[in-house]
Amino acid sequence: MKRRTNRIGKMGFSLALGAVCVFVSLAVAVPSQGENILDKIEKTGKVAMAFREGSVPFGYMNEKGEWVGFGLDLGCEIVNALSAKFQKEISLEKIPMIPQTRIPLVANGTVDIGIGSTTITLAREEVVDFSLPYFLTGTRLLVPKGSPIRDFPDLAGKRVGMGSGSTANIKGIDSAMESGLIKPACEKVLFEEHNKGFLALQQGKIHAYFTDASMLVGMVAKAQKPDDWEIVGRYLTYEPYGIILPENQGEWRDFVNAALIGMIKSGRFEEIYEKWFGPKGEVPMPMSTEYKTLLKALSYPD
Amino acid sequence: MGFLNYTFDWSVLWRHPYGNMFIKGVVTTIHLSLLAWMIAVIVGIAIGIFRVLPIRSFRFAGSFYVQIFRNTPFLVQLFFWYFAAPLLLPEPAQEWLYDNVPNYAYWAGVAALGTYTASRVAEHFRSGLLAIPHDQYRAAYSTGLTTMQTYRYVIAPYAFRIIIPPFTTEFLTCFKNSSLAMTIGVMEVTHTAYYVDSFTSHGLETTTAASLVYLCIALCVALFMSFVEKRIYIPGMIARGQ
Amino acid sequence: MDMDVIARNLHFMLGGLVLTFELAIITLAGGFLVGLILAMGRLSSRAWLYYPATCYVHFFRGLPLILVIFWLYFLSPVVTGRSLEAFYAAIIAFVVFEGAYFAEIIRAGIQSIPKGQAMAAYSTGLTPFQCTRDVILPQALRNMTPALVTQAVIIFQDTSLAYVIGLREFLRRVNLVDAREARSVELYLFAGLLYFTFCSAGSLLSQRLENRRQRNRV
Repeated sequence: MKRRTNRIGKMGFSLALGAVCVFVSLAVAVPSQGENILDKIEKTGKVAMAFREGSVPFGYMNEKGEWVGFGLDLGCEIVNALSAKFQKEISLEKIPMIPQTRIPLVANGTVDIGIGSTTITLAREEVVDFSLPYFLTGTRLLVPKGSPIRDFPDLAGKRVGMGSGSTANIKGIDSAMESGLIKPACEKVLFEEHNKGFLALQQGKIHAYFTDASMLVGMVAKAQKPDDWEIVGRYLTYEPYGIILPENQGEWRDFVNAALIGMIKSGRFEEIYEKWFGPKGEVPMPMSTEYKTLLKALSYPD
Repeated sequence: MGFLNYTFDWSVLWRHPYGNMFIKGVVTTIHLSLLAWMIAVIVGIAIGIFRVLPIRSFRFAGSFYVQIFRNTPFLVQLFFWYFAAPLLLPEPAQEWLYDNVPNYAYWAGVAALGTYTASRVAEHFRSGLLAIPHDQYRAAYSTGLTTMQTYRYVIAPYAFRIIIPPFTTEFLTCFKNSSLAMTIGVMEVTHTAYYVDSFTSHGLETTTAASLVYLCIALCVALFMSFVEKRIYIPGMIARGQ
Repeated sequence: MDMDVIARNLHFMLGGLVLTFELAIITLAGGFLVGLILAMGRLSSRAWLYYPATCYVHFFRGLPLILVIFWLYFLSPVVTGRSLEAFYAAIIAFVVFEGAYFAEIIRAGIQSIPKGQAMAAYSTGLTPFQCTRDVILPQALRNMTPALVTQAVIIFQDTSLAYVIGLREFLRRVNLVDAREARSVELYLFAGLLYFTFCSAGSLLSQRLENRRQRNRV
């Protein structure tokens, strides 16, 4: 009997030792200084890009099962710019990302660039870099038509849904509650995906859904009866989207920014925007005045 | 090849306000899985007994339950309990439910995890009963024990020892499956790890911490159960060769 | 209810089943093999076999699969300096993880065989290897069939977790269609039914095998 108890003790010890080893190796795994991405792309002739696949219309699967979207079109433009720079065909490797994986995928070097619907935040800037903001939207509320909720103060004491990966949104509503705009506080109900939140809204589990207006427009467009829903409220926060890039890759970031500016100045960017957000696009959403101003500000001279 | 620009920052685990979130997450994981496990054991043993009873309709009901719950992914079942099950109620009842049950997602998670684990517990319980050789029954009867006594003194102690390893496994699985409740928005520890990651972009640290929580609890349970297993060991059933 | 959405996207969603089956079959075979080796280690009286196997089993039984996949995929570049392809990352995570479960099932099966069997086998002059292969394992396999089938069904369903690293298997595709069409109830009902069909077919088959074995048993 004694020997057996002893064995358990030994086993516990070796397990603890193993765990400690794993953690030490994690803690000391010094990130190796990366090579220049542009050089790597030229050498291998390949660029790895991550896109969303469940975020309409930034990156999603269409009826034919093809992977398309606003982000993918931007990615293709960047690949074209790369091919022109190196004067050879650069091939594109497409890798899917979800809100939880988009930052690590870029940070650990699995992909060279991530194009989705990612808000530039200061917290994210600590881990990765961002391109110039190429998309601007703001957070609003989706409610059933005729709901007493017209603006953010009406949310007091109500249940409000939001995406659990949409940190900028969550921070926005938290500070609205702290500042007394929403008083008494509302109850936050988190959803993994926006469409689950929309379903909960349809079933009456929540009173309103809160996220970027660009997402809300898409949700209404997909509804069985789009007329039953309305988007209300001021812009609580502005959400500038950026392309995710690895840190300390100045040349690569300059190249991506130059490609973006080139697209904006040549009118190609507006064409792509029209394709996805125009009246015939998947998510019809006219460009706001603020957004137009942003694009003008980005039209840097040569 | 790969180039890495990752700096570890373990302070996200205790820094305000994330430290409190993690503690809450761990507590939620524990009581969510314990509640679900209680449902699972009660329902599971009942269903397991149903499946070996000599009454046809009971056997059918038991195997129907097991087939339904065992043969659909847990993710889909969670979805059912959260989104579809309330629709079976009349509309005023639904409204009452959402307004008066403050954390509906949590209870949907408990129900889903409990009923799902029950189907697996039932199978282990049944195969535990079936693994006992018929000679045991015959021998017990031949010594003059009644059916009740046979089960109480011979079969149950035997079956109990056979089902301990699979029940331990099932409990740990139940405990870990509670992580999937994050898909319906329950703030347990895995969800907290993802949530803090989305604020701080330090997912590697937070998932490591979450894994450690699972490991520690699982290790304690496993050590305790292997201790129990050895304490109640009956000579004659093959154990680890010693 | 809008069942049209299923018909419209049927082709795309069913396309994911190929990957689902591929993942499940490789995991099943690999996991069983790893599990068998581990179970032998767990039952061994030699410390250098027993402790590593035991640690392994407890380590992986203690982690949620979703975290194992996440870890392997995102940590391998940090530790080894290069990233694994998603498919291989998923396969390795599944085999490594399910192996621990198979090990416990096989161990329990072997332990359910009365010790007299091994003694009798040794007394006829069989070597330990022969005894395990020809006497213990065939009987143990019969006892553990229900548990093995349960595990196989679980693996088939677990493959859906590969979505965390972006593998487009069946449930992920259903999910992606849902992202575009917003018809969750219909789509998940369909997914549930489809999994149910495949998994029950598996369970029924195994039950018949089990019954036949039991009939043959004297």
